Amino acid sequence: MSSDTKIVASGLGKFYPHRLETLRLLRYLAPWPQRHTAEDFWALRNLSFRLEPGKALGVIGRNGSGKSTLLQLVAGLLEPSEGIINVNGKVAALLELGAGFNPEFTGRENVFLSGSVYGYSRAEMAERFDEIVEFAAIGDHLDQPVKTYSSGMYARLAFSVAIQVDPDILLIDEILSVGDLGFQAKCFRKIEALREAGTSIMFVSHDLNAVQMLCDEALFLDEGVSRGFGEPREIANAYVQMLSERVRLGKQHDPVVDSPTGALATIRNVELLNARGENTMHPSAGERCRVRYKVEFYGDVAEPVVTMQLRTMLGLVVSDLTSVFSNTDIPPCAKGDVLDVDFEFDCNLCPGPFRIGASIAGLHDGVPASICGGEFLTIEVVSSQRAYGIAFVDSSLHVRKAGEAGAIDN
Amino acid sequence: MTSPIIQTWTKRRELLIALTKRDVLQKYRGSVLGVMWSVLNPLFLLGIYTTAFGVFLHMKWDAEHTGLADFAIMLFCGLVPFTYFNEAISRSATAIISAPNFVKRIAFPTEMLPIVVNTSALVHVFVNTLILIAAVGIAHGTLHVTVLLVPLIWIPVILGCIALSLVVAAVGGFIRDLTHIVGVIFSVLFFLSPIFYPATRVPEKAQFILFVNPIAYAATNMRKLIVLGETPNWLSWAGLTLISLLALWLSVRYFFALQRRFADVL
Repeated sequence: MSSDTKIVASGLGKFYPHRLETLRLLRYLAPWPQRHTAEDFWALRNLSFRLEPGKALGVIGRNGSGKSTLLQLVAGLLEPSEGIINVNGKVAALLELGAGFNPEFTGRENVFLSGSVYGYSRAEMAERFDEIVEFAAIGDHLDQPVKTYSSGMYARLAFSVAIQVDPDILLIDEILSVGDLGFQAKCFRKIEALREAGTSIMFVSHDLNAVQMLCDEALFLDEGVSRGFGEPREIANAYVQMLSERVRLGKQHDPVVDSPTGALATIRNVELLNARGENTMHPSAGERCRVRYKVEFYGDVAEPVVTMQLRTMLGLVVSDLTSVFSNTDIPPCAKGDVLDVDFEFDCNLCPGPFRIGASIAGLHDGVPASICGGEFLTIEVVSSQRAYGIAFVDSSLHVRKAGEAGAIDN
Repeated sequence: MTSPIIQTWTKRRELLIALTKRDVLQKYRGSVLGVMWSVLNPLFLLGIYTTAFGVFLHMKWDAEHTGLADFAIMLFCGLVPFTYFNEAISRSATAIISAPNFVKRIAFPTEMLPIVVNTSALVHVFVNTLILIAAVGIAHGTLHVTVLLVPLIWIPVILGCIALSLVVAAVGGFIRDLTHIVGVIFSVLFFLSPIFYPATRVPEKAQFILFVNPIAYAATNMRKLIVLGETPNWLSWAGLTLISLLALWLSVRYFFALQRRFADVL
């Protein structure tokens, strides 16, 4: 605990009105603090944390968990409904794409305009201008109106400005995800340099890898409440754990199923079998597995197509397997028919949780229709071998000094 | 703690200049005549009013100023402050809701939004006043030395208008009906202010309307200084300046109390 702590939040809370009706908004005109009424909902509640100089804090959580509200509170854009937030230093906020850029003006004009918002004179911005332009690397577009920019160019310029104004605190809300990989890498290097110079960073992301790579601490928010604060790896695990619990909770009741054309068919008995044919939730990395389920029909479906989806906890599609890709012809089905579906695949996944979905589509009355589908299982891939990422790539490594005989084989 | 408005005026001066420039340029960007429109607009208005009131209705300004040119000049003296208030207050009503980027996404000093509306409108005031002075110079062949006092007269007027703008902008951030209410008020104010008639024509019993109306004050004193060569009443000038400073202080406090709630409802 030091006197130059950048951010101190204690008992921080923020509520919003449920509906924005003019008459309800009249209370906002009173120049004294707002009182919570039954009509309001809490976006953030009872949050306390501190951020020291040069530290990076990752904020994770699902959509609507209060992450963006928190950043806006730190940026001073919102008034806390309760508690205290003390921010010590200049805040550069990359809260949303193209923040503060005027679409009608050129990149060059916007750089100077942003500079003056951060409290820099034209002369001071001119000194930084070359570096900003070099970092953003948007070339001739600099003198084009920013409304002609791609989202990537927008983000590059916004980020370049934000890091060149020597912020004490840098707030980043997902913005890096729009840049290409090369630019992202450049940003991460720059962020590291800023941290060494004492800039504190708050980073909101769905990218758990980025949070673990970049951050010293992580905060896990759910429904506006802190569900954990501490070492990023542990917090990321807690988050993934919660996500998988949610899915399992769903499974205890009815699976999440949508059937837009009514009850033409249902999917039942989804299970994962390991190489020995045993029902499991914990396949080994690289193991030959099978996903098996039954489809029961309540109506006529011509040309049925069955699909199995393999996703990460965050919803990234690892692989979609379908009867179309494998050229499997399925006979037309009528009321009362039951299909036994058996997808066999190599479980080339890194250790960690994954979600398995299943669906069926086909022609009903000559019209293509999605019939039934949903997510049914959450599995956890295990491995004795260390691996990190999504795909488990079977590999070997050979390294040797050039010109020397005898390789160091692994 | 120094007043935030003082910080705004000193630390943010460059931002203010940049934003004002942007605001003025943006309005005319892409048009053929460009900034010339800021001169042409009031001249067209002046032409229409002079034709309607002076030519069609045969209105004379007063016993001493009976010519059409005199009428037009007197009318213009009132039109300049009216246009300023109308533009500044009407645009302040939507200043917050029309700039969600500045309110929700960056730590932008939102008090700049209604202030920029004022400085931008003042650019027009400046240009129009120069035209007015030139017109008087041409019509009379000479100018009164009291013309030099014109900037002083505008001090309480501008302070008062900024105070009003801040309150209107703060309220307008939440109440979207305000922009329509302001529109109605200014339609009424055009007739209740001594724009196409001299303040002296207002009946004794209704004179109080002039005291609470800064447009009337500016119009009457523009006429005194530029056309008639009379000096203003310094006592009422000092009083008004004090009142407008007080109003500004209160409105700044009010704006800052509401400032960080804008993002809640935008």
